[in-house]
Amino acid sequence: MEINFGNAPRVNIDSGAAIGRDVALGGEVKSENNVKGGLQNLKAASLDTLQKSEPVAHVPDSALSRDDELGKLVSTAFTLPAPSMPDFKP
Amino acid sequence: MNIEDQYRRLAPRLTNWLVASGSPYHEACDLVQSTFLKLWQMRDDLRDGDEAISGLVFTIARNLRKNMARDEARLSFVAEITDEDAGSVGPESSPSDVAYLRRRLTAAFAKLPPILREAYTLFQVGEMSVHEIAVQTGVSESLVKVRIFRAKEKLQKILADLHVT
Repeated sequence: MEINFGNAPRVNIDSGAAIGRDVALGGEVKSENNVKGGLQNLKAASLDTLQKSEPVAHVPDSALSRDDELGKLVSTAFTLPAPSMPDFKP
Repeated sequence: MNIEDQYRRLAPRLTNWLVASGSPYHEACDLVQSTFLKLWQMRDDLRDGDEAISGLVFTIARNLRKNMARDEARLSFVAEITDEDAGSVGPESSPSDVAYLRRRLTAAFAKLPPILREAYTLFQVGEMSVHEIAVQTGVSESLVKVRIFRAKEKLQKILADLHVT
């Protein structure tokens, strides 16, 4: 199914579902251009594009330790107090 | 689902990740609270499953931050956290040591390409699994591993004077 914004190019509403999901999760659509831009971004960031532009090599799990020296430094530096819990009210 | 329990479990991780990935501390705190208010509004539609909730919380926070800072240029990467705000981090470190370390690491993260920074900070600071990051960022688990590995390599070079391996 396609939708048409006046003279703007047609967009596929199936792709728009992804934007709908983002909106539901806190995203914001402000204008038709915002929707069109979002669709262009989705296209540009498609899995194929990303994976073709970055060579994937085998990385052993042992190289991903969180407990190496760097990881320990990062964990030490970023142990911040969380804000107080909001007041959840109906 | 008990949102309060999820808050206790995830709010510290989310706060740490937001700061490590470029938000000032006080803005990160606002984002964490807004994220959980959004989650609370959605509570009737949520299914149980810690991994799914974790991914959802980080997605909401990312989108809310995107609304606040439309592009990376507006992220501050300033570790403007007072020692008092930073709280106690353990008997072996003084607050001033940690503040210095945080400044160095924040500056180092800022130098990483955004896709490497995102993968590494979600993994190390956000404590997300490779699978969760793959779902979150829409790429394969293999690519997530490569990004984390490359981020670590670059950070080790940037922080060479600290002799981290």
